[in-house]
Amino acid sequence: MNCEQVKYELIELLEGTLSAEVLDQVEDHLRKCTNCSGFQAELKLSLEVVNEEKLKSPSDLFTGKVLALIEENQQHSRNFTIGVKKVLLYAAVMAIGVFIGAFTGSMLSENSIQVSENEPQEFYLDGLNVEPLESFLISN
Amino acid sequence: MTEKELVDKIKRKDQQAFKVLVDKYHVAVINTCMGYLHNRSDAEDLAQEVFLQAYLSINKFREDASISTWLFRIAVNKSLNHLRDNQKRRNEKTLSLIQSENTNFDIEAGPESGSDYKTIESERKKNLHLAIDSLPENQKTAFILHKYDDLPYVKIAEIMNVSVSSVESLLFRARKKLQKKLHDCYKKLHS
Repeated sequence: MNCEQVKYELIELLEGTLSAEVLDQVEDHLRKCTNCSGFQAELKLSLEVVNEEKLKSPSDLFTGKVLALIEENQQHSRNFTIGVKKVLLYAAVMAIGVFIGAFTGSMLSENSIQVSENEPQEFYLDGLNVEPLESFLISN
Repeated sequence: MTEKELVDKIKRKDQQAFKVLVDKYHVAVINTCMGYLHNRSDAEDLAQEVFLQAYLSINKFREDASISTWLFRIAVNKSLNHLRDNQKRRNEKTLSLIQSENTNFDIEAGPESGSDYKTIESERKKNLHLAIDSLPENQKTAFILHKYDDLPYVKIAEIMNVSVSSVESLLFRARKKLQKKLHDCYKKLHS
């Protein structure tokens, strides 16, 4: 086996997945080649980083932090719901106010039309209360 | 308490039952996130979000898989989304640096020859993280679930929703790719 072939198999050697025959050939090469054995040692140390990084025992504070996060999230939801309800309430009040105003306005304008129907209609051309042109022509 | 009883209690918002779930699985979830993020503090923060999501969407849990499978799936998805968001932010930052007039890139100094032990250790960690980050998403996920969570192939297949032979293939390719990346770093260091 040459160096390229051995390097291809090194990670499998460390994982323990090599067949017996290939294992013998790889180990034989590693005994003679310092370059490949040097990389094998480095590869082994690199993969051991994974074991060093893993959390091995439970964290005492973690569960408390999760429960606090849930409580915070529920508080935000409650605040948001209250906020939305307030906005809807204001919108409803405004809508009712506009409706009452429009309704009252339409009632008042109906009454003013009835009053004007009972009075003789007098039209003025301008604010000087000059009688309309039509009645002037008719009277003359 | 059986798993079904535990899930039913959590669905009724029983916080004591949820506490049991967190106590039982938080190590596994943190380790999964650690495999992606390479930082303990970030991994714990993300793991908290995993459990928050699990609590909020427990009614969506269909019980066709185990609760641990479901938690691992949430952890994997959240971790991948976190990496994608970070990548997007890094790309935007790089683009704005390139577009700005006064660009001053800091060149990270490599380790000096004859460095002390801590520098070599930190360099080794960095190379491993870079090698893991360079894996395609599915190979990365299979590798992390196998190496950081010590899960058997059957469980990994269930979490990733693939066959066991697919998991074997993903892990084989992941190992080869990692080895090549680490060898390239080794050659640079010893050239």
